[in-house]
Amino acid sequence: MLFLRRAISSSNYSYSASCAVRASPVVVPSRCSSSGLSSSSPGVVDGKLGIHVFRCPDAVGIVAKITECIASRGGNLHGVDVFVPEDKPIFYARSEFVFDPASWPREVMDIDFLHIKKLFNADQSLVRVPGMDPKFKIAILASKQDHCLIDVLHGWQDGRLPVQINCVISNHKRAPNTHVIRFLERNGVPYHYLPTTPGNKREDEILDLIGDSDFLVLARYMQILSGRFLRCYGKDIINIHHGLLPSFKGGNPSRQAYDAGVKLIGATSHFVTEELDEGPIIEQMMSDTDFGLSGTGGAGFHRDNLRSFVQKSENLEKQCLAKAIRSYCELRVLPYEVKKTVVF
Amino acid sequence: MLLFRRALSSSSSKLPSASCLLRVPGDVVRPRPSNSCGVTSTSSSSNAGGSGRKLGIHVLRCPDAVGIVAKISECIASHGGNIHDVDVFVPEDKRIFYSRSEFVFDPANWARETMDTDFFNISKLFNADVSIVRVPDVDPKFKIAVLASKQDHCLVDILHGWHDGRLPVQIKCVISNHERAPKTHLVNFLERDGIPYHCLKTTSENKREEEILSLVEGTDFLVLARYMQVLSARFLKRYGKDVINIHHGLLPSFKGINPSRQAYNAGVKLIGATSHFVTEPLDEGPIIEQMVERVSHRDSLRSFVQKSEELEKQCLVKAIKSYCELRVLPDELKKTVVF
Repeated sequence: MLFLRRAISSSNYSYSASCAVRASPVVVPSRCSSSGLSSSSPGVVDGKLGIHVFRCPDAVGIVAKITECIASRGGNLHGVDVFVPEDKPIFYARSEFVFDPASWPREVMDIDFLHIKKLFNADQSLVRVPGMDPKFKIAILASKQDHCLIDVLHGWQDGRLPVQINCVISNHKRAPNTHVIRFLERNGVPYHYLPTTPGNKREDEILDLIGDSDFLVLARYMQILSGRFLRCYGKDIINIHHGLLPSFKGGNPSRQAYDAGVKLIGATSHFVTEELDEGPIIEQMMSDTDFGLSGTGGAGFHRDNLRSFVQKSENLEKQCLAKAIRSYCELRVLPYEVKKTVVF
Repeated sequence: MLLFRRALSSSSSKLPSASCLLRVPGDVVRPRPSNSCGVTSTSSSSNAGGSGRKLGIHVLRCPDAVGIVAKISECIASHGGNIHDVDVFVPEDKRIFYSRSEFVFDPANWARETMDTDFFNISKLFNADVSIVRVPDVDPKFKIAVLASKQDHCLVDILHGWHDGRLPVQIKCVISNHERAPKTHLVNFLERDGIPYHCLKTTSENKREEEILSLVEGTDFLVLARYMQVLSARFLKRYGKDVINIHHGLLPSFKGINPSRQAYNAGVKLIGATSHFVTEPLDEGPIIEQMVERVSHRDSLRSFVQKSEELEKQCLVKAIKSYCELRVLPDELKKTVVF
């Protein structure tokens, strides 16, 4: 989906096939595979969910145009999120609507939204029909710690994560009778063991294996991807860091946090850039407290030893990474300035 | 209260005979005020039951051993005291014992001086390096000085907290490097309540530390309520007692100035505040309390700052309350146990 990589490189548009407004109309294979996203659509029997995201210079009339376009095709708007930063005339919108593909064919939808994009000179314009478009293809990289990997696999199996897993790549060897290997075999997902050394990060081989993916997930992959790798891959990479960035960058953030005597721990999912643990943040969660409420973390925290710190961290990481992947697949994550994200 | 500064200096475990380690070693038993403090203690068990019964708080830190809790509780019970709450903590990897007990007692049956002696004996028995007992209604309130700069939301919040009785302290004075006109809310408030306000403007060469040291003499601890000057190591050594600071960021992220702006620029999704003891390295002292709130792309820098300020106020007040209620104990060099 190239939200981030596109924003950074500001190159011309070459969208991956899984979604996006096409430069020229092509026939989209209508795959009616159900995705974890389908919202029940009251009133429209064969209604499909459509998602449109948009970023352009701010102007009067954008929402009017988008909503008119959807309505004119019989689409029923279920949700609109609009955001214009206080200090910059940039317009962001994300719309969810239900439509009848018989009345509004997929290719026509693409063209309609392309017109709006041109009209407002948008630099981001994506439309996606989760029930019809191919699922996002991902590759997962992991090292020895597999709690995040397993959580992603289970999420995929349960349909919570609307992705297609091309392969799992790891620099850690796993025996054939491990839960992960058996799971992958049962589900026909290849597992590639690529041990790394300080002199050889196996990046070219990794690039070969992931060429077909839409984005990468680093599920506690402990190797640092080089700037060259990032440029060659060119697409978005989501990482999970088990610390509340920018605190405790680098290795063993749980231990760093434990040693520092902090009263709150957390996890951060973010896009990968060349600087370690500094890419735009997608989601952050913190220990034990419901996210969304103010949390306090003074009394009682001394009762955590390093082990429980790590356990709490791991729990948070799993949730935080899964949430980030979901948000990304639902087109909720948009780049905002250089270092930030809009997450609808 | 010197819980923290004492641990840092790791002086010998000679304990003063005073009932609480507020004073530097060598002080004699301090005179007990004849009248109890006007405000009932607002710590947890404020309901002390029948008339005359008082709340007592005891904290102890010593090498771990069998029988400590038994000894403490037996001591309290033998004087007719009724334990309402006990918190015990022994870290997994170190043989150190921490406890905090709250109990209700009748001073007629257990005189204050006797209580001091009884707990002192226990501290000797177990070779404790922290042993404090406090009867909030009877003992003098903690005397503090508050330092502030231009931003006064934290200072004002403390003053209101003190005024409402939520913060069981006595404010000796407010010191600021920012001039405030006589008609401001703050100065009016201080005048009405008889709290001196000292404006000590600072320059890069002159931090007025000597004058501050004179003014804060006799205080039990200091509160830096968004005081924007960095106190030197010399000042900290000379003052010798605990200094609590509020930092409007989730340490160790965003140390130094303008953490809200740093956070805003970093695109984080959670912002917070941290209250901590002041040590020589900036913003690195043991953390007492942290609070956090979610932010999103919809937050402007202004709302980052507003949310930060709200959190700071709550976080600082909570830290001061915890400290006054003897809930905060040093844990190794960089951490705290907060019961």
